[in-house]
Amino acid sequence: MAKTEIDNENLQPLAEIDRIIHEPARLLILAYLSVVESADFLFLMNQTHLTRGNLSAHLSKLETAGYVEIKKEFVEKIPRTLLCLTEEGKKAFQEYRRSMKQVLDSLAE
Amino acid sequence: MEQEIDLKEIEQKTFRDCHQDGLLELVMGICMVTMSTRLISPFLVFMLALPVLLFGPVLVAMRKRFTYPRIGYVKLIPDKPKEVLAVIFLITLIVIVVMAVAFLLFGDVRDFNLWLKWIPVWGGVVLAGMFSSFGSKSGCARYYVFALWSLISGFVLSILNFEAVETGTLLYFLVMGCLLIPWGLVTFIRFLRKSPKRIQEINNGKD
Repeated sequence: MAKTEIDNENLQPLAEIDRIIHEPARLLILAYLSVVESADFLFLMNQTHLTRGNLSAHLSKLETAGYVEIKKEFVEKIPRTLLCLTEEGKKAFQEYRRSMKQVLDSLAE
Repeated sequence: MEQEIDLKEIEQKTFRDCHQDGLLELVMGICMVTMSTRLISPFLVFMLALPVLLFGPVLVAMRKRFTYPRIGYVKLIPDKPKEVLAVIFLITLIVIVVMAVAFLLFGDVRDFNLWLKWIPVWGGVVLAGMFSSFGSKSGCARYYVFALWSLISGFVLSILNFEAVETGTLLYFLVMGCLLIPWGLVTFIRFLRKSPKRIQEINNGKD
């Protein structure tokens, strides 16, 4: 949705919504990562009920956007993919929540 | 506000899932029973050091071996140690003041044995606070049951009279341990049965 298509001033924040976050699966991933310090791939897969490929694809997009940090490590010879939100990711997530709240509040009036 | 509520639910679910293995209860129970071993023999005082070992390397090793391969690894945002200590200090202060007033009214406030006799109440209140905090973080009713049990047993064991003044305190640890160990053990066994190891499946399916 282009910014110019929105006439209503109250809906202005809608044009500024972060599209990377505004996808349900990615929003869920960010929500889970926002309440923990770090989690591995398996934990996130269990929580979000996304398939391995789906989760992997969304995480790649979030990593490219700089919102999620992905670390590969070995624990007793078993590979582990550790995930956590970056500072930029935390800020973007908070901003997204603020913008959505603003939009939803203005719709309710 | 709806989003905040959802985040709270996600936080609670994460906490619940993280502790669904029952190992925390099991280790806490073993610690409590260990502390109560002083009741049997005063030479087992050295066993008091065991909780440090159990909550440290033993719990971590057990989770690495049994929990993480099944549900994955998660590190929760830790409580700030200063805030935790401040809350414990505040609770202790309140309990001391209430006990002092009660002793002034109904006993002798200078009687040291009377203070020792009522230690289970302090333990009960501190543990009840901790369990209530777990309950709030997880949304699980069972932690509030533990909190209630802790308060009631602490109070009852303070009222009862024993030959040795510290018996009430040691029995309190035993009573708490006898609740937590079976609970933790049953939860752990159920967890192992219902959650198969998935880490190999994840790694084998790697592109």
